[in-house]
Amino acid sequence: MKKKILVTGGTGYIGSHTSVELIEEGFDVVIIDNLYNSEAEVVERIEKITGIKPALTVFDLCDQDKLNNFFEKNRGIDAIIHFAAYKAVGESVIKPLEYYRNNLVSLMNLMDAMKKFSIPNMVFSSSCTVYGQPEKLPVTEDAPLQPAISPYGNTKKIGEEIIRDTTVSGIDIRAISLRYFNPIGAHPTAIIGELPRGVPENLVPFITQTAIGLRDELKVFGNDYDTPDGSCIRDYLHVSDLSKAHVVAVKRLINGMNKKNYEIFNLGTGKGVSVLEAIHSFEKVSGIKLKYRITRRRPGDIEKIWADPSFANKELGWKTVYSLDDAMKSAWEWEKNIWNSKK
Amino acid sequence: MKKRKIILITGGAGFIGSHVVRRFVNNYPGYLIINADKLTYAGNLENLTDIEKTRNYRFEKVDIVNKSQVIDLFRRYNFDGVIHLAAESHVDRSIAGPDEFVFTNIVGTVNLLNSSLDIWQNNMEGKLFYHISTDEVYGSLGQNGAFTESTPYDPKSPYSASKASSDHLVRAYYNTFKIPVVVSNCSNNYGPNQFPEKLIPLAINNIKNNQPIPVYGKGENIRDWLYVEDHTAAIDLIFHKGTAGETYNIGGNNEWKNIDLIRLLCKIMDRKLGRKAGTSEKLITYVKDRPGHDLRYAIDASKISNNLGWAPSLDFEHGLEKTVDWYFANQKWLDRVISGDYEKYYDQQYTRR
Repeated sequence: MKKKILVTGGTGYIGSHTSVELIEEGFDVVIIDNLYNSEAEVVERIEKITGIKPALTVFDLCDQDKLNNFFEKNRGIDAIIHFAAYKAVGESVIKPLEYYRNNLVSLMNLMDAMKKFSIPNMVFSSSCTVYGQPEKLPVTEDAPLQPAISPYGNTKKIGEEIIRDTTVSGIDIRAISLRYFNPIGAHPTAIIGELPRGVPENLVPFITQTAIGLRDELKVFGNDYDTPDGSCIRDYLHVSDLSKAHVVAVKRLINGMNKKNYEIFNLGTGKGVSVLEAIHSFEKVSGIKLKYRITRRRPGDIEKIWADPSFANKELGWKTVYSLDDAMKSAWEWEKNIWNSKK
Repeated sequence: MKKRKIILITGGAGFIGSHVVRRFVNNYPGYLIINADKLTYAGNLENLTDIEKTRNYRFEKVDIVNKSQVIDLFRRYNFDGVIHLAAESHVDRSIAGPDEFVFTNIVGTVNLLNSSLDIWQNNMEGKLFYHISTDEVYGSLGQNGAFTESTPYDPKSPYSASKASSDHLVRAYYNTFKIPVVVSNCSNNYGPNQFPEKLIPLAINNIKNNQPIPVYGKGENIRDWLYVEDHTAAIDLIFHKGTAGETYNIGGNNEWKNIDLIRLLCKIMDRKLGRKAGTSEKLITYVKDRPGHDLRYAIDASKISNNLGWAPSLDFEHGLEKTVDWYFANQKWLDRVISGDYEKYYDQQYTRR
């Protein structure tokens, strides 16, 4: 029997890539998404890559009636990978209540339903944002969590705490939180990728949109940080690598290989890359000279962070295989693909 | 807590439908509006370019006559409400070929009802199936009186018969299966984005291009006219405040003989085009009357007015002026709508008479 995985937010950026990896690993995938930030057509794209179209049900996880209804109709789900969330840092500062409500109520509804319908396993989409600016680099999972800078970041921190408290409360739910560093790139087929609405907040879509001519210039927020070239440092990992980690985590839970009811893993390459280095990598693989301008620091940005992924390497047997150049190349192919399809 | 409702609007690329979609998308950011449309000749997504990128709007190409497409649509989106506008609506077309009207208007409606019943059967609370219909189901009036919600149905054309049939089915699902439904029956609409086979946009276009304005019979037929956005406001109100099981008549309290309407339009257009008064009227050409042409429709809209506080916002002259201005400002839209199919149809209906 195929194991059945519910992917919430499965038409989104990381959700869609993870759905592809799951299907290719022989899992049965069902998706819930409210399409707040994505298109229903993504499931057809997933079908194009894998030959299988995951069943998409569109509704909001905050709607408990519909959620219960969904689980009544979809029995036998072995695990949930919970991606669905609002994720724009800047927007969260302006709309904190919407962010708390959406990201936390949906999580709590989902965990209630897990209890009610005896679904024992959850993989949670968390973020390195919970570390703030860590004192020691690379950052390990036991690094102290910092007060969150944005409501978005706080929803991830509180989300982890809700899951931790639930998994140790004596009910039959096990969970793994995956703290992503900076996912970039697109599927090697360039059929799915990141599809930001409006002006992107993230570096790589901004780079590719500038290269294609959609944006006049790329802004580099600050070159006076305490880093070798003065720009911020991040740990960029290919979204396909990241997605594979979810498959590994799901298998770990389903097969009962987890050591504790609640586990946390960093997902990164272990290598810090500066914003300017990322830009140069893109220029190298695309052959395009980018127009960029150094501007003031962006409030809320931390100076430097990169992962110590050795716990995930060892415990999950997972590590990144794609290079920064690979990721940039795939992001560029994807951007060109979006552009061509609009012509 | 407040729920993010998912609302299906069928026929949202059509004339009235596109106005309803726009109003709901703009007024209710907390809803997800799914516009399902087959994109027949009357469906034009260019009506919605201003909102097509909005976060709470998505389009799905669906033929409501195709049962499996409807089932898939409802399986994907757990609709909280349905506003059903998809229909074949042109009386002349229903005379030339009634079959499509039976399929789309009757079978299509039943497919939507069945799927609504399927997803709502365990919990009807807060759900609503809203069927948009026409005053033509009531038949034809003499010189006096007006249709009320209790006027017996007496449809005369294949079009109105198909709408009457779908109205009955909607009410039957309310009585039999307890699906919360509302029905509204509205008089003739006019305004931006109306397909130029209908009287007012057709006349505007022909007057502008110095083409004959075809008028059926002697132009004595009387219709009540309502500006499309006033209809849309009524739909919004009924959807949110209407009582399940009820029917609401919507009308403009604005009866015009076709010939008087055309004359008024000619007057407005002469002024706007800088033509000498009386110039455009010379374009009026009487053509053989439509078979079974209903003499007069008039709507008594006192129920929606008394119960829900709705009233039309525009008088006819202002509404017509706004409409003329819109067609002038959107020549490109019109050019693109007037496709080969339309030209052929136009020939068939008017020039060979």
